[in-house]
Amino acid sequence: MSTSASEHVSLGRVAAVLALAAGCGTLGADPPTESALPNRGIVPWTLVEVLRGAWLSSWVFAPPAEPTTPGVREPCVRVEGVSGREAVVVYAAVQQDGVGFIGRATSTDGIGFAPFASVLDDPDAEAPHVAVDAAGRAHLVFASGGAIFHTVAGADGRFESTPEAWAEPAAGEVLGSPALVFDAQDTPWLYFTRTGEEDGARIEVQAGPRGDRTIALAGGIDCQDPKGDESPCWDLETSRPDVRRAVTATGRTVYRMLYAGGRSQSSAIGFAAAFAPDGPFDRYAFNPVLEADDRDYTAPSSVPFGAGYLLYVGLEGARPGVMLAVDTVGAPSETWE
Amino acid sequence: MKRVVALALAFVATPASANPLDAFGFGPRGTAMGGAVAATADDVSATYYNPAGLATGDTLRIELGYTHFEPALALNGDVQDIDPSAGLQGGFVLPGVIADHRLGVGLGVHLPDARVTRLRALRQSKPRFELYDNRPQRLSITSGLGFELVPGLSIGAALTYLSGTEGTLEVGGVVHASDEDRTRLFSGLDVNLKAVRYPSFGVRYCPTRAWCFGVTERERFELALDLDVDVRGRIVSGNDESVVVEEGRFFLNSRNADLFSPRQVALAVAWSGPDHTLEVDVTWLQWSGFPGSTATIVIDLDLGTFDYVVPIPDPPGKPGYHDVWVPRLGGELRAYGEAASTSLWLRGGAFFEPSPAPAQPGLGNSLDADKLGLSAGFAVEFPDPWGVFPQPLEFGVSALWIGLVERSYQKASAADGAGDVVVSGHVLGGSASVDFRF
Repeated sequence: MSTSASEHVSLGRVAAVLALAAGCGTLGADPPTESALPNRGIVPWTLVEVLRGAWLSSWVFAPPAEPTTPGVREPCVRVEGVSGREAVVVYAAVQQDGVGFIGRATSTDGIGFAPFASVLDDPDAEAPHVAVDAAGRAHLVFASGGAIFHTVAGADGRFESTPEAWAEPAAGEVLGSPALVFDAQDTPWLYFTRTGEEDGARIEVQAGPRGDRTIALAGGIDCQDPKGDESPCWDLETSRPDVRRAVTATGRTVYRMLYAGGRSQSSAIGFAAAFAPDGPFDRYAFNPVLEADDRDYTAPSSVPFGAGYLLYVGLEGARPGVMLAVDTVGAPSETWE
Repeated sequence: MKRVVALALAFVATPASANPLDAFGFGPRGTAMGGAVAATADDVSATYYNPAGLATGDTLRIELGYTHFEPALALNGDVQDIDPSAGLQGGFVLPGVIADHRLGVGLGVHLPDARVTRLRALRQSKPRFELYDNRPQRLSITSGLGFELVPGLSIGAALTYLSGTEGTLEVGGVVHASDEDRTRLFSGLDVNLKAVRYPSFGVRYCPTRAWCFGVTERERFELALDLDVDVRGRIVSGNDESVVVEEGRFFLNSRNADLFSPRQVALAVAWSGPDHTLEVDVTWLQWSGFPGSTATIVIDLDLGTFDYVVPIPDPPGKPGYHDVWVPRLGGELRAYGEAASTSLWLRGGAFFEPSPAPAQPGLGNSLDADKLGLSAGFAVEFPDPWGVFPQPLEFGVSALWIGLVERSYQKASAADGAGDVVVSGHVLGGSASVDFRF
């Protein structure tokens, strides 16, 4: 990963994690390196620190200091371009100069981004997610007014301003933070957070526009503390799915889901995966994969890039921002766009 | 205290299985003939292949050589960081006669030049090549005795020596709960390297000069890695170091089977003449007895009034390895010269070793694949040009290539941490030695 002159990636934490993750004791030999071990991009994640002026910052997109400073929330990351000249592309809901839009920004290293350019002028659009079908057309889904909308990119890369509602809420519920995946038959699968007035948030999925909805990942149940006593799960509620269709080392298709899990006011990032787009999704045994420390993480979006994986996570609220974590321990073993 | 727990757990997870001789053979002749020498070995390598062969020689033989094997084993096409196996090999065979019965005493040594032995602890979730990661990294000393019962029929036995490890790390002192710089700990280490022996037995029967049969049985062997970590101390907090726990204790015991070799039985038949040998061996390896290399952990934590529980990993299940039969074919031909003069021998061999490792859809990541071995070598017998040794010297060289047949491991859970992997690669190496005869 390259860095520009004004930005510097702190690799100290990466080295520390590498050393710790080696996790092996040897008598009479140096520990082996793990640089070539398969890495699925699940754990461990290390937050990248960027040198901005005299300060080390965790923000790739910092919370706005002024009303004119862009505020970026709910990123969707993709890698675009030909092999050897890939670029990291982030789509996000951007608030700039008092105007909201869905923006697109590119980067060569995943850290320093060009300014956002609008691809959909809709001040009410939130949580964009972009997927490309078999014909190479980019599809955008986003949340607006408690429903999920879909639109397709034109030749200029901008999305049509007449989106179609693909999922609408029933009484007493709100739909948000969608993710879109095309399966091998080019069928679109739409994932989103369904929040009910009484039963909280969970992730649901439907095939195509207005398809039948099913639960993709409900809140965690039957959790125990170390003593074996019943305990509330860390992901009592699930939300903000980032789902990708990936290919494993043996050529199997796997649907990877990063999601935000939470209970009370805290939120962390978990991982689940399935061999079919409608599940069942198995949780990773050692969730959460990025745990809340002094702040809560939400809105994950991940992609393989270079010798590792990038994970963008956001903070919500009036001053949203986006941080970057990397997983570079081992050799990437799964690919997706 | 959590840091101590984490540190301790980091050192006790999982190791691997054993034996450089099982993996790559012993001596240039054995290696060059694909390991198919249980009916004909009469040199130092007979201490490993069939100790009954020690009774068939009539000269004192001292052998000194070197072996080196370089693995290039890959997961998903990425070559892994696996140490080569290299070291000195040699020994002697001393013949004799008691009451008209021939006998021979032999000593065979494999002395790795990087380390005497290695005990490695790996996490169960970490993919590894169970048969090549740690297996060739150990010292092996074998002493054997062959005895001729009647002309053409001899028996033999051998003992192989290794050392097992058991020990205790004792830590005591004061743990400062809020300021790690004020933590004062004192440690003591008590480690014993226990001698471990395992036997092997052999029978060699040659009803004619042309035909020989051999049977060798090598016993199962495992080294236990038994470690205790005992932490006792006072836990304090704050500037005034007020006592939080007066006498806390954390005790951890980790035990696992390190360096495992399965029980083996080799059946061999050889057809020989003055200028050739052709041998076929079949070896049965009882891998179903492999207990697995994941540690069983016992933890006892006493923090007084604090009700804190350390999560203990589930006891490891059996890895489900199965027995395998390994066919071996080897031959040698005198390409130049004749007996008692300068001669050139050409050798070749092959074997196919099915993998004992099962599919591993669950937590295990103990990886392996079917192996095809192809070998070649030569030996030159020549009179000592300096006249020091009364018998011809033999200089032997061998090369062995072991190719792993590509194998896919697929996980039952899409969210498995290691995920699907493809195993492939090869091991390439060889050995050379000089055999001095008196």
